Parts: sequence; C-alpha cells; structure tokens
Amino acid sequence: MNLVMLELRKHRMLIGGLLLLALLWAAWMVRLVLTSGPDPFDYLAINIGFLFALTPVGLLVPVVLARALSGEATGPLAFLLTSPRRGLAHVSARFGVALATLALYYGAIVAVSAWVAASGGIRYDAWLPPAAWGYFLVAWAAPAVILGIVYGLLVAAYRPGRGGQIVAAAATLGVLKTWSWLTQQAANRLDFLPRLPLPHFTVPREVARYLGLPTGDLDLQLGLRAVADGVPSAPVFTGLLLSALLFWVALRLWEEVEWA
Amino acid sequence: MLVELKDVTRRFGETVAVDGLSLALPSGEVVGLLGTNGAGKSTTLKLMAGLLYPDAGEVRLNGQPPRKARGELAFLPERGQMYDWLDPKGAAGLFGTLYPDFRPQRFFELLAQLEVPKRALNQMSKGQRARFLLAATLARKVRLYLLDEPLGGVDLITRDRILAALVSEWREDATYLLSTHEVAEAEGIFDRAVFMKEGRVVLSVSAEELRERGQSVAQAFREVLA
Repeated sequence: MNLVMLELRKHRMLIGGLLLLALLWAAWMVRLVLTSGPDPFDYLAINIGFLFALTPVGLLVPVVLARALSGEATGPLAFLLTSPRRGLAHVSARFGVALATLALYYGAIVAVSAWVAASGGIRYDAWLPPAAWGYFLVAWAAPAVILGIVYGLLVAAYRPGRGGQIVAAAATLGVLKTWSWLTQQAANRLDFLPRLPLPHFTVPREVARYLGLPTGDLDLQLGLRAVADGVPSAPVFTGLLLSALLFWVALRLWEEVEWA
Repeated sequence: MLVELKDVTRRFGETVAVDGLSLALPSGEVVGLLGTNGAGKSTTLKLMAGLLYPDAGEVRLNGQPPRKARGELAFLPERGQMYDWLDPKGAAGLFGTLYPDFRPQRFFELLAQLEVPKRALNQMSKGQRARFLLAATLARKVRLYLLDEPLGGVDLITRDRILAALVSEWREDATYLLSTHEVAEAEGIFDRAVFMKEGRVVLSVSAEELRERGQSVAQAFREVLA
C-alpha cells in the first residue's frame, strides 16, 4: 500500500460519494433528455438549471476534500511524522488524490453538460468541453485544494483552532476576501497576458427565434466579441502560481508540524 | 554519542515538562527511562523523536537534529494509533512505503512471536493492538528505538511475551530506550537506568554500577524518586 492508496482507502467514503453523486446526476440528466419533448429549449433550460444547481456544490467540493485530506498530520498518528519520507511524498499524495478526484468529478459534469447541449442542437468547438474542464481545474480546483491542505496543516501545527469556530470562520472569511482581492488584482494587472480564443457556441434557430433575435443560427461568439476579445488567461497563471506557492508552504508546514 | 540532549527545556503553558535536561547515550545500550507519572519521560522521548521542539537547549541524534535523523530512529508512542482497518498485510505494505528500513519478514515473525492474530486492528483487543504496534516498530532496522511504555496497560502474560520479543530483538549496533513504570518486570533487561523527576535526570547509572552497589533497579527507583 503506497501513500496514494492510503489516501484513497482513508477517504473512500467521501471520494466514492462524490463520484456516485456525479454518476447519479449523469443518470438523471440522461433520463430527462430522453423523456423530455423535442423542443431544444427544454434541453437548454435543463442544462442551465443543471449548471446553476451544481456551481455552489462544485465550488465547495475542493474545500471539503482538502480539509479531509489534511486533517491527521498530527495527533496520535505519529508514525506519519516520524517517517523519513519527506513532506513532498505526503503532500503530493494528498494533493494528487484530491486533484484526481476533482478531475473525475468535474469531468463528469462537463461531459454530461456537453452531451445535453449537443442533444439540444447546440453546436460548439470540440475543444470547448476539455478546455473548460482544464481551465476550472487549474484556475480554481488546484489552488483551492492546496489552500485547504495548507489551512489544515496550519491548524494542526500551530493550533489557532483553540479559538474555536470563531477563528475558523474568521480564517475562512479572510481567505475568501484575499481570494477576491487576488482575482481583482490578477484581472487588472495581468491584462497583458495573452488571451485564450473565444469559443464558437451556436444555439439553434428555434431558440434564437424564441429570444426575439433574427432568424437563423445564433453564434454567441459574436455577442461575446462585443465585450471581450478573448478569455483572460490571468486566472490560469494565477492559479498555477498560487498552487506552486501553497504547495511549497504545505511542504514546509509538514516538516514543521508538532505532535503536542 | 548517539543521543545527546543539552539543557533541554520544554513547557506546555505554565507547566514545565522537561527542565534543563542533559543526557548522553552511547550506541549499543538498552536504557530504561524511569520515573513517576509526570516526570517528563514521554515528553523527553517525543523531543528525541522530533515530534516536539524544545523551548530551549539542543537535541542531537548522531550529531543531527531529530527531524533530519528520522531514518535512524523508530518511535513507539505511548498511545500509538493506527488506521483501524489495517490488517498485518496492509500494515506491512504501508510501513514498507513509509520506512525504507522496514523488514516485512521480521514484522510477520514478531507478530507470530507476540501471538497477534492476522486480522484488522478494529477486531483486536487493546493488548493485541499494543503488540501489533510494537512489532511494527521493532521490524524497522534503525540505530535508535524509542519505546514509550511498551509494557503499559497489558496483563502479566502479555508483558512476558513483549519482554521476550524485546530481548530476542536486541541488536548490539542499536540503542533501545524504554520508558516504563513496570520496573520490577523489566528488571534485568537494562544496561543502564536513567531516573527522571520533575523534568530532570536525577540519576543515570549502569546495571554494573547497581550490581556493585548491591541494588536492584526497583530499589534504586524507590531510593531516588521517593
């Protein structure tokens, strides 16, 4: 049993539960699409509703997962800390398991969403689903997971949690505020970074007609071009940089954690 | 010296657990760390294992800070815990990953010697779990073994088994440091006895010196710590 298998075994309920949730969603969506009427507007409504329902859950999943993966570095499980294996092995196993789980989880969401959209007659660039999946993983999931691990190790090492839930709530609010500030700064100051291409996303004429738009297929790229000349890459670079920085912090914390 | 502690102090809030402790242990000894409850034995072992940092003073294992010498020490905590679902085979795999010096074959031999059943930890009694953890610790091939109360909380028969396993495992190139309250049972296995009181070493004496004095470890314990 290596460290990756250990993490999988320890958190099999949480990881299995998340993947089961994604599978249930998929099955539900397939059923809805197969049993709903021929109007493509139904598909759009389903898909948009589906994404709105998933967004808050999807944003919280990395935090929950990271918290679980960082929760036992100290305490009576001293054999982890007296292992001569460096923090790199332990943190990498935790980060890797979390990221792989999220990759599957978001992968299922994106795949189902793309299939529902395609079933509704919506056409898009073939690269759009994998690109959206990768963008979300790098820009949000990876830094969120490693931040959760750092937070867990920080609590384990220096026990600010002695202040109870007030400290935890304050720390969470502080993190959200910092995240929001960082995003703002990244958007403002990293505008020089190359932009990613806007995708073609064509909705069928029935939907366009319903929306009171000229007849014919409606390519949303045209509308998007009016407000932006591309998708900003700043969140990707910020996500990568933050993940690398926090990963290093996690390694240092693992080495410093006390058992008291 | 394999182990050196110089003027080490460790506090927990207002409580001084270890108070200016100095101790030097050579390689190849079986050392009993003896003292009453609250004498600072467990804290001293954790400081040596690198699981606690001293507030003052210096801890060196083979000339290095403990965290850098983790490959040279094996630590059995007093209330050691392991994942409940682990069985001997899983544990051998896990310990093999965590410790390059882990000897699976020796682990299984020790489990057999200690009469530990081949089932998951959550299906074992307290004594069986203690023996399981001891076997896992001794199955590592290192220069320093730190064993915190390996005889604590087990019945007399189990104690005998543990002592027999310990004695069968002694290697001359390794140092074994055992903290215990079971002075009478452990009598005769120590090369040296280190007596601690209120966070300090009050006496460090070899078995030979005790013999010359005509004293048992238990008698010295009463005399020094009473």
